[in-house]
Amino acid sequence: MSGALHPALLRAEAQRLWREPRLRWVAILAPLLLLIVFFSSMNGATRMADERTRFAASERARWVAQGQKDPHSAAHFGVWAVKPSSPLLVLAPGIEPFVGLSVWLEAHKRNEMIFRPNQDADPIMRSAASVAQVLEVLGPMFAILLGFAGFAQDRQRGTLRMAFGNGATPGRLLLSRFAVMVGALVCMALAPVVAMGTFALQALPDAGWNGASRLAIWSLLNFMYLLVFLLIALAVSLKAPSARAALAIMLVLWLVLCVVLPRAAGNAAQVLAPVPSYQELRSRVENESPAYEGAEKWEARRQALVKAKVTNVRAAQLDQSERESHDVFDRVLGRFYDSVEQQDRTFGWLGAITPTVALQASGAAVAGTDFYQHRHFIEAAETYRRAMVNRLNGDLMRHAEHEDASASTGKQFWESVPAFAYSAPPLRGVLANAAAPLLLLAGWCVLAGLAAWRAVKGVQP
Amino acid sequence: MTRALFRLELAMLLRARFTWIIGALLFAALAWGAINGQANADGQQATVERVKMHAAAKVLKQQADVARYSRPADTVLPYWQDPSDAAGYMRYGLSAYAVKPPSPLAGIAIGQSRLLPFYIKTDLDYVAPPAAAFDFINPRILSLGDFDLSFVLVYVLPLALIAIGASLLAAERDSGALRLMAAQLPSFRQLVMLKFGVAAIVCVPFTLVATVLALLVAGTPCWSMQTAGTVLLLGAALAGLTLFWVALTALLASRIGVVGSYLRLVSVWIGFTFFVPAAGALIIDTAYPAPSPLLYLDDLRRANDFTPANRDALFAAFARAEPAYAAAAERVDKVSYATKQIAVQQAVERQIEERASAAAHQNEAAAGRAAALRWLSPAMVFDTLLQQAAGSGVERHKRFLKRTGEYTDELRAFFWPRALAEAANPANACQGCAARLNFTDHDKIPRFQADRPLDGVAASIGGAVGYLWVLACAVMLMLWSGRRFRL
Repeated sequence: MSGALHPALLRAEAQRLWREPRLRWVAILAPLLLLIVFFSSMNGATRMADERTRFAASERARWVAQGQKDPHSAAHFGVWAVKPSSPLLVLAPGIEPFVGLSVWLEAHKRNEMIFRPNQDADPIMRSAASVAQVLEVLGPMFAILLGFAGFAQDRQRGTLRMAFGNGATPGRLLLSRFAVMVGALVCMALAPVVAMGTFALQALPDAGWNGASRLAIWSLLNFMYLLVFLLIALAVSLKAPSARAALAIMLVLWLVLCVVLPRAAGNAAQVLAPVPSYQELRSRVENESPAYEGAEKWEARRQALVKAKVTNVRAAQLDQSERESHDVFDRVLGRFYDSVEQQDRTFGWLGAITPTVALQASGAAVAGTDFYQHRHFIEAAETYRRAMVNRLNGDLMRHAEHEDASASTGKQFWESVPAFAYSAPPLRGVLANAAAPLLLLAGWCVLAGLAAWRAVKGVQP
Repeated sequence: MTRALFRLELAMLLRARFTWIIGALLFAALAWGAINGQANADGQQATVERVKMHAAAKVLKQQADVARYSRPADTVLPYWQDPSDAAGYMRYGLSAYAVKPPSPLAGIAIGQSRLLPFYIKTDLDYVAPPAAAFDFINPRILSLGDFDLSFVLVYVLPLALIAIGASLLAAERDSGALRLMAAQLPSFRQLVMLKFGVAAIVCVPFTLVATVLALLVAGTPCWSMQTAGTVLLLGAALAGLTLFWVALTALLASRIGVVGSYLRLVSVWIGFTFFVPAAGALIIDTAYPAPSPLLYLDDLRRANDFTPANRDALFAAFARAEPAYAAAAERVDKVSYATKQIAVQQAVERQIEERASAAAHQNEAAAGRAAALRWLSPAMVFDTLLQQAAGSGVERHKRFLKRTGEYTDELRAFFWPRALAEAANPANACQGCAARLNFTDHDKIPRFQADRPLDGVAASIGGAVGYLWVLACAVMLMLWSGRRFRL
């Protein structure tokens, strides 16, 4: 045996694994479960992509065909912007089912995104798992089932002593078993997921999400995550006195790391980086934004403009109040969104306590379904709203006071206001924002590898 | 002999360090979950109070404005900024909220309460679902789910029971001591029942006491005449669930070794918590796809797309149909946009009624099928039961939405006749005043009456409690009279 991974040894290990009935069951059930959740997600995503395209076209047609009207009335008529989802939503929906998918862009107000997919769904739909959740929670179980008996069972039976007596070195044995188990993990979990992701990329509009690169990175992250648990299982198996003890230890670890700590981390992030009350925030916006100001302030503003001898006082007043409202929205809502991002970052750092959190934070980012990218859309829609309203107010200002501004509008004019077009944020920025959980996941992988290597060095047959 | 063995088993279970470690961890998780749940309930209660204060302060300010504007002045307020104009006020000034305060038992299960709006600012001419009124929570927390008491009871408790019970008999099977033990008793069945009977006697009271202590630690006000019935039913449900898992552990772990027992039991847990919901979601989504909010919005926009000319025509026809308001039709060009919207609103609602009711039917059908599928998983039944008891579930929210709709109708019945009467016969209560003063009844605006969250809860969860006990008894029966035990 010259190389560390001799084909005969690999073959023997593969046969040994395949003889385990539990693994045959897992090999059938894991892809089946993944397929069920994938098709469940794919159903909704295909339908939504189609409806989104139809609605956007309908909105644009309505905008262009609104006839002659006062530009400010058109600003109140507004448009609805629909958020284009990342195609990887079908694998890792992240926050998407819990945030609105559409926002009304109109004069004066910065409206909230509404129509959260999960709001009207029955609880059974809300508790439905996604491919990402299956990998996050059950993926480690697959890895544990592969790895827990790796050495402990042989030790218990005495075959480990025989193997060492026949010249097998612990390192070589670990490497060959690890290689075969990795192959099994790839076949059971990763290959189906990559195939599903590729199918989703073909079937759903990409709209600048750079889906192929995201899928590659996302798959790699999930692979690293499964490796962490496989390596830990092997390390425990190398040290545990029996397969039973190894399994008990691994099940407790799985319960703590994959089931309990992720939710606890969510609550801990809320305590460590609290987000202010949204109700108070809305009150502040109402109190501070000129869009909501009362009659006296409105009149004082008008008088000042009259004094300044502007051509069209009404238009100038609308424009002024609009621009001042922007500052309030930026200050109040901007800080609020910053606090949400800060909470997300805190959650990402809690990836130090469990690799599941590191994967949840980084996976959603790479899939394009985290708050950072949701905010990117909110900001893009708001930028469009401001440009649209400013443009319409600007047109109004070109007319003299009491002049009928609607005369200059019409199809050509409405067409000159560009349709809302959104492009996803660059992947590099997304990765930079999720650097902490990405590094932590890599760290977990290295630590688990070191633990397995250390365990194999001191293995007792 | 049996009594002595019983005492011995009990002592062994109670002396085992593993039992205490699992018990301590479970209690810590229950307490942390209860604290989180109660903190959420307290937060929502504080928000509801702030909403009420905000609305009351706004009305006080508006009344002060009315007093100030009811003096002769050079300026005339635009109607949309006039708090004493019925039409302007109902459309631009009204600050009336429907609120759903947390139940006294809300700390038990956060449930859907973070996802569903618990206060809604009423809007007399907005037809879209009340999605616009949600209170923003970091969506990541929504997607992760909360670490609350219900999470611990539904997901962690079964795993803890499996951890304690799976090796009770299987370890002796693995070590070969089982044959010896069975030889000491009249039957192997008796040994199984004895061992797992001891486990049940320890685990059922422990889960009940630990849960109550966790609620006390969190400060959940669960002891009162009002809550007693619901709390007792919850206790019965929890006892049933605990017994079910102990019995299931006995059923599976009495036949195979430790490794096999753990794997089978965890697989069953995965089946109940992952597989059934996933398959159920796929079935429902395929059979009853969720009504599209975008197509609804499209219809709404189309129905709402009025030009000034056809808005006037619609309002004139509407006013002429009612003799009291017929005069308004003659002066339609002077009637405010807000008043014309009354006619527009009714026309829009008629137009989208078909899609709205189709969507409601679709949702109801899906909910009915989902309710049937839930019975396949005790985890889902128990989860739903906890949410119903905590007042944070879907049923209470549906009632809240219905009441919000009725409240909107009350507000319309209050404001619309006033605005239409003013449009038909404009009155000027104060010559030369800045304000119109045709509406000064701010104190008479109908107020939303919040529900009593625990009313009817006991009746609604009774079936689920019975189901859990039937399930536990069925598994015990299978254990007692089922397949042959193997040594």
